[in-house]
Amino acid sequence: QDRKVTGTVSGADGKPLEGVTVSLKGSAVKATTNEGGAFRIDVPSSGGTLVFSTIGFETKETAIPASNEVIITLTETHENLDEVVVVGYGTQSRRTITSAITKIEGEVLRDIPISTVGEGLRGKVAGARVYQSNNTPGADAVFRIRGGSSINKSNDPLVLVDGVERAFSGINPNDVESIEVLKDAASTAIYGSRASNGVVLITTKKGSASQTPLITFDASLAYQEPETLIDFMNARDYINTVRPAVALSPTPEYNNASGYSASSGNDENSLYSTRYLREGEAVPAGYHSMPDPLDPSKTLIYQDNDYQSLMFREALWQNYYLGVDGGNEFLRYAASGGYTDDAGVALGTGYKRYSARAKTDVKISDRLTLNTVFDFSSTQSSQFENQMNVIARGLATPPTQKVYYADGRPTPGYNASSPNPVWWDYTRDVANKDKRLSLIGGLNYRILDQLKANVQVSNYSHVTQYDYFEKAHEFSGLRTTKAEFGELERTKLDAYLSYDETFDSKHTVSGMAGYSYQVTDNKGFSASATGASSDKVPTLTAGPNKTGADSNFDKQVLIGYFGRLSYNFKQKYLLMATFRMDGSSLFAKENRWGFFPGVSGGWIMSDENFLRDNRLINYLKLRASYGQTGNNSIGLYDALGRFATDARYNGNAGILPNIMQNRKLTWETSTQFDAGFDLNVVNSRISISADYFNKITEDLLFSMELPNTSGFNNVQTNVGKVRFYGYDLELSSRNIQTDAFSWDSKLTWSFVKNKVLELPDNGRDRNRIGGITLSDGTAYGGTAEGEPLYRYYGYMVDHILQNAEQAANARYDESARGWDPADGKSVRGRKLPGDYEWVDRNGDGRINNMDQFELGVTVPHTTGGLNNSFSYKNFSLNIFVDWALGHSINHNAYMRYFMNTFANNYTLVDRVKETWKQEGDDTKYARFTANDPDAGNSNFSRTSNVFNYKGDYLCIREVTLQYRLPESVFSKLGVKSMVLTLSGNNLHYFSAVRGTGISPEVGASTTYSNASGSAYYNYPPIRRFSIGAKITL
Amino acid sequence: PAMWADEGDATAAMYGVYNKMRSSFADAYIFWGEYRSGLWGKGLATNATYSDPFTNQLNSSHTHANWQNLYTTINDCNLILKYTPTISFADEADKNKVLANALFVRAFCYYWIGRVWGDAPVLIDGFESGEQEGLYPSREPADRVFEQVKVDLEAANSLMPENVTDRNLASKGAINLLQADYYLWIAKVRNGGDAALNSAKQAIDVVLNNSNYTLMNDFSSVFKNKLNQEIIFAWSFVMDEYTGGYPADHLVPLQYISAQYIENPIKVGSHQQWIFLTDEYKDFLSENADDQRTNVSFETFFDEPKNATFQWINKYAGSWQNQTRVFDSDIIVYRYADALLMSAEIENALGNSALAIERLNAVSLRAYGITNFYPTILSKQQVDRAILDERKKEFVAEGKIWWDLIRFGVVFSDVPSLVGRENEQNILLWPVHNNSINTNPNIIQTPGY
Repeated sequence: QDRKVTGTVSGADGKPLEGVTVSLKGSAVKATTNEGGAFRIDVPSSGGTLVFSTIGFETKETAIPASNEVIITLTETHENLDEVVVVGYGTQSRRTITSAITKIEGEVLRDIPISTVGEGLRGKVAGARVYQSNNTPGADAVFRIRGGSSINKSNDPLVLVDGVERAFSGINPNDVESIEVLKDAASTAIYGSRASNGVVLITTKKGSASQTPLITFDASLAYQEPETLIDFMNARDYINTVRPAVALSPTPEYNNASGYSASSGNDENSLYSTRYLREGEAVPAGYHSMPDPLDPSKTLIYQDNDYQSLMFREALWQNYYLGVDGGNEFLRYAASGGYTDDAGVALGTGYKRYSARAKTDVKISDRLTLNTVFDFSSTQSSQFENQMNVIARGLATPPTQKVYYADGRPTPGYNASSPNPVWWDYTRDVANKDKRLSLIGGLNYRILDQLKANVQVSNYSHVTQYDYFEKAHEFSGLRTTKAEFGELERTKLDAYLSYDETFDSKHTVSGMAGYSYQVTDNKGFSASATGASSDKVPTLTAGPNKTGADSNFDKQVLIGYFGRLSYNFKQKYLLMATFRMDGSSLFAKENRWGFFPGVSGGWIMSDENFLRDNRLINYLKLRASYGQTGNNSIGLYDALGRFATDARYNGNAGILPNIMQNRKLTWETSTQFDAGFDLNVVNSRISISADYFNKITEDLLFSMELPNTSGFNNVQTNVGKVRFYGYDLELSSRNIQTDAFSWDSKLTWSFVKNKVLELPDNGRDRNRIGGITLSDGTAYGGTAEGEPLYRYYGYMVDHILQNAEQAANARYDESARGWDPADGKSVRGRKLPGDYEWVDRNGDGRINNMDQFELGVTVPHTTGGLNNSFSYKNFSLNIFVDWALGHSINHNAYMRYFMNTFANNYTLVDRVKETWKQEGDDTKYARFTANDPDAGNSNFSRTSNVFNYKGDYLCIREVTLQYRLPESVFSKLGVKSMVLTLSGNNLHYFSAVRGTGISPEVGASTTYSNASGSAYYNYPPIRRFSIGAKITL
Repeated sequence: PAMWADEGDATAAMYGVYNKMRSSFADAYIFWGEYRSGLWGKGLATNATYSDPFTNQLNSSHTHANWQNLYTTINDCNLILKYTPTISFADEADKNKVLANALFVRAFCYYWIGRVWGDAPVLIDGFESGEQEGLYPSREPADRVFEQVKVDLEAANSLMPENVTDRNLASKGAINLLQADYYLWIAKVRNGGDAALNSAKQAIDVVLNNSNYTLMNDFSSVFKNKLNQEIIFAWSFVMDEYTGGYPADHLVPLQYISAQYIENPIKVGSHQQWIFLTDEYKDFLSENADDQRTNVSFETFFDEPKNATFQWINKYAGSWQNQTRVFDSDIIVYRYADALLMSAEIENALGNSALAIERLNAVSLRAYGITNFYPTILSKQQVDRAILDERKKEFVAEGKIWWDLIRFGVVFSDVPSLVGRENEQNILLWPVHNNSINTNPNIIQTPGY
């Protein structure tokens, strides 16, 4: 009576589906489809219904026809519940996951003009703040998952691309299949000592077993421009502002000596164009004229150059991508090649990337599969090594400065580190080249149906090259030439066994255990030379003075043992436990090993009887997790100490202590609790996933500041405790769904706060580090127990002194030079009308550095994004906005455009016109003086609330309009589909810093810093408009 | 591989200490030793870092109010002194030389700390771990600081091999000259009396009797020829190793001058001229046309096309290579002329004015080409004045004159910005930097600041 039913299962796109479970309803009979989507099942008697189910597709039932042959198409489910989620060393279905993982489809990175993966993720990951700290072409975004975990050490997540640890850099966004962001301890503990800042798993595209190869060609071209510019003063206003101010300064002679930007005394050879028109002389070409504000009977002539437009040009961005994938029962493949070219909006910057990859899966036997990945990219970029100098100070070039000398050479800037942008570009050749190659080989062996072995070996190498040549110029004729070469090589073995079994169709058990060994080799050398005879040969060889020859090599090893055990009862009650034991060579022998466990549980409440038939709630899962992870981002010698061997003295080798040892140093441990739920309502049209988390990091790897008499700045210790807590939320909604029109929305919202719980005992109140100590011994600011991180401090304006009487009665101000042109004296502390009266915090009647207030924090508490996508017939429109709230920016770079320093040659912004002029002026800005810090009263040259801005922003990040050409247009050409795209990126930021030349994405206590570790990047955000076409063959 | 295992480690650590000492003093030396003297004012431009010292309006955020570099140098010395005795050397004399150098540098640093800040921590054990005792020291009385200088110099003197003739490291000569300097200070500023004067005399006579040292005939060659016979101790400045320092603030930035005068004669620097000699001081330096030192100290030139006068200091101007200024002149700490004038000051204080004048005339002979420039009939006060005047002419931009003014007791009369400020507490000291207080709650600000 038994009979055989055969058939094939495919998806809506016609591709066969592998691994679909085919079962006879009401019995235990089951079969699974093969690579070609085919199945064969033995069923008893006649009639009966087959059930087809697989992750990611809607379950379908069909009656067995008399022919005993079934051809069936499954539709992809829109319920996210059945999607496959990549987890550490495996995959799981969204339905049974008990930890906090956000999955981003690679689709979100398509059809928008972005160069890097991170650029396209801002606002899209619930629980992560993704932001662009540097807008220079090709720069990677920064990831902060749930605020990070550390105070002093890295807060960057572990990034694994197809299992290989590497940076985001070099990955072509078009190659990304999905990105999983692991946020809680239960999901990250499997990565142990590197997991405290979360884990980002990037999976690249894989071939499908479709018979025909699918070829995709994608080309797009974009126009780029700065999203914001600075409102600089024009030359005429500049001269009218600076000359009267210089006349009242201690150095009025700068108004008529050569070499000053607003001086009447320049000549043909001067850097600056401003001078008196000579008798009988006609205004030269390229010059303007005006009456001298100091003596209107005389005529000044000057050039009016816009250095901002010389520095930031409209530039082209282009991207081409060719991909092919396909396969059959035995072989699947996906391969691609890509080229991205960003010409760079700022003069002298740019980025190019070539990428190529191939991924193949070969079925060697029924039990054994081989998979290999080859992933290569080569990037070339030029960028400013010091954006503070080249951008913030380069733009300080006054409009009256000549761009070129008469002989055609660009003029330099005021000094070597504040260049005319054109001169900088002319004198420097900077090239960075990076090559990254991942080679992965893996074997999957099915030992038993329930037991599988998986071995993966990978090698990742990253080769860096850097070349620098400085032509002979006004400040140095040495022709400094530098070359650097470095290679990082990471070899890894991962091996694990996994086991899955269901008993009594109620108890599902799965287990996994594995081993990982990773060795990282780093090698670098660099050399420099000076003294070449001309600018023609930019090599070390041409420079006779070999000024530097350095090399370094280091090696680290990380060994891990890990495992996972999960159990669920009736797919309703879910439990999971994971662990990892890691050993690292970074620590001293006796403190190398760490153990990192995680547990989680879930309850699918909607499967209980009392909710099963609920009309509103389609799915509800409650889950909670708890676990510990580590952070090992310490320096190579932080535990063992280090001496520097480059302390030469008169040609003799010298050695100096450099890092203070601490052999007791060990892992920093984060303990995280997470509770959340996943809810689908209204026919699963709305789905919500929300999590609360509380993460406490103990034994902080802390750079403990040492007294400055100790010989060291700091020592690395495991002291202290910090807490990060908050929630993340993701909400998707299918608002309208008709045949012709659909509208979907997706919202992410992340909120994170932090608090320092414990710091190294240093004898101060709340063990405060840094900050300001008052004379009574109390202190504020810095980092202290019970207080949040990332705060910064500055002076607060009380009011502007309106007249001489108020000025005479004003508080003594230690930073005031007290120059009064009336008596020609500088009297320390003396104030003049128009000066700010600062708030006296400690009430001692004196204004000094103890009178500061918290002006803000540099990290936002809230980030989020909202996507709306509409589709109507062949058109689709996608609008994405994102935001961040709570951070502040103290715009020191902009502040300097009020100060007129550099011997009155530092340019001004238009807003200087709004400074206080006379009694009764009600304005935000104090009086303007030529050279505010050195001759004035430091109204502007101190960090204060005057140039402090809220960083809150809303960005219209992406708008994409697409048109899918009707098939009739091209079907004869053998083309499967053709899509035209118009897209925009970084279209507009709504924020308080608008018009000041910077991005509000980064909070900063100063925008004028090149200090390593806290450098601010002044490159403005870049807006792109692109047009593109995608053809699928 | 551990540090402190063999001879090479200790020797390299010694050079490391001089590397650190050089960078600690490269800028600060003249801020502490000269800019407050009233002889300096604004250059082509100035800013608060310079004008606060030259107007004697210091505050606790001034970069050179920070003693960190000196204590780091001291800590490096302390580690050498801790470990070197445990290392075996092929030649014991080499070991003693390393130890003597470490003691010399430590003494030098404490001598400056004592004079710049007064009360200060005295640390002699060497920190290597964050859990060490005494990591958070308090300021000890200045007497204790000066006592350490004395102890270290005595130890250095007895360890230093006689045959060491280094001029850019310590030597018997350098140690004795620092001792003389120290005892003279103790005698005249810290009530050390004749005992200290006699110690100073004993030390200075050792230097004067050392045939390694003599005056160069040509004053300018003192600064041109590295480690010449007049040099007793100098910091080596070497292109591509370490250049710069305070002399970079004394030249003229090229954007202001006409192209034809670049290095002909105007000396062009790498950045702004932040500070320069006052007009009164320049007049004083120019008062004797025979003085060969004047033009070495400074020069001026009128740039007609630019209608401006430029001025620069020729000492330590480094070299001009590939159209680029390279500040590779050694900065001289002690030279023979200093020894002679110190001896003159000691002898005069001891009442041996004839000998004092003899020493003084040795220096003035080189300067003016005139023997017995100062007659033997001068009173003690006149001799003191003559010594001070010669020092002001001899050591322009050599980081000494502030201390001279204090030693001769004329600081409140000769320095215009200090006139009438005798009662301001600790006005001759520098305040302690905020950073020192904020990293160690046991450090208390100097009263008055």
